[in-house]
Amino acid sequence: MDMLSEATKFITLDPAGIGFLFIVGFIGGLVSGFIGSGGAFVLTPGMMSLGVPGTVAVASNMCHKFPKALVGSIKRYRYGQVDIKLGLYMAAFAGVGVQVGIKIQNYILGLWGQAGSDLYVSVSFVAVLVIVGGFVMLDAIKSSKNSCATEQTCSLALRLQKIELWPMINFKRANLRISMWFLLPVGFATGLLAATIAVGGFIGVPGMIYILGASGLVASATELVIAFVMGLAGSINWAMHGMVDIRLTLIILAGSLLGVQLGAIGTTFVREHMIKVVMGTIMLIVAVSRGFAMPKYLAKLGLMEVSDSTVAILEKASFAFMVVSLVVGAVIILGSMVKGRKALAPQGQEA
Amino acid sequence: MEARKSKPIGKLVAYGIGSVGLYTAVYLCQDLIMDNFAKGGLYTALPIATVFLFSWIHGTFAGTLWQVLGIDAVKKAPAQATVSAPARKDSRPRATVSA
Repeated sequence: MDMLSEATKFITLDPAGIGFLFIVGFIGGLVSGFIGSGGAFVLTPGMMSLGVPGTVAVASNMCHKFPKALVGSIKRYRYGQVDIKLGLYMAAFAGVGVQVGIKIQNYILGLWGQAGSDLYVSVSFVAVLVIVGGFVMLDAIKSSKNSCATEQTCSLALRLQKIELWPMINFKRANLRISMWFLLPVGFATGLLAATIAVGGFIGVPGMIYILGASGLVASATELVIAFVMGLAGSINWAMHGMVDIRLTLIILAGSLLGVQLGAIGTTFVREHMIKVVMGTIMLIVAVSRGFAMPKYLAKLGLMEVSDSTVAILEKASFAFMVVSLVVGAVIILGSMVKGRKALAPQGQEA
Repeated sequence: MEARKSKPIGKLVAYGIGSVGLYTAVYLCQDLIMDNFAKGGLYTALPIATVFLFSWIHGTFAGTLWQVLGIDAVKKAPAQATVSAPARKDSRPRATVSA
């Protein structure tokens, strides 16, 4: 518990640092209000670059995530997009996934040390982002070419919905009925990924769309419920150990509460495939970012020879790409909102 | 062009003052907060309660700000857009009474 008071001695909260956290908070909020997750992955390394110790950065980041998710999910609930029951089921299974994820992390840490653990995180990050992000992106491109206004339910999800395997669960808002045995692995994987790369939504949202059969709107909105439940539990855990720097949390929250509501409003402006476009784009750019971080860990494990100066450049490039992923996501969201507003403007004038 | 409905300026100002007040209080009492909020144990309630309070006051301010700026939801989202699988016929044998 003394760690934070020691740490705060060298955290300089100058206007530039405050401005950086506020802006990243706003953009991260905008993205997560729209796609249900994302944004937080830039904040942890961002805070660390300001001199905040890793654990305090992770704890303070998580402590801003759950109130942001709460505000975002309330907003999207009002638009009829949140399935609370689905979110609570997913969160419960994700909770189990988090515990298993932590056990795997500890096992790898004991076996190969910090560099091995970092490499495991980076490899999982790149693999999930390339495979799932690529799939989401391909589907988004296909959906954008599709002339019909409503989203098509994936054939895999339709097939799974037909299997009557007790216990079957009804989700009224998401308009689906599916066996708990298909829900469980999706929730579990969300938690496992959250414990590994801290962005469980990158599995949770596509999982709800392609395996369970929820629409992009419902999946992204419901992800906010999962993020709230898991974020609250995680924050209490970190705060019990005295790791939350409330000043950092509140600065990020100042920006993210503005962003998350704008992102939620944005979902009502755009065509449904836009959620997939934004999610796929961010995932693929972040994959490139994590790719840049890998040589450092490979060098530490003695699997590759890289000079320190190259590692420093690659680290900067990695962080820059993460920031780029958020900015690109925000530009697509804001751009499609403006387009959506313009398209609706003539109707508004006629009325 | 006239506004379609009145904008909640009063609400924006009230929650804006509340939000600024909270942030000023945190800034002014930084040392006291840093001494007590990171003690762990039962003190865990302090940071958790604080973020809930900020998300209510600052969150309402933020939502009202977008409303006043004219950025509001344009349609009720079609949440029920998915096509669910057709209901399966119950093929289990049933006891019937033939009288």
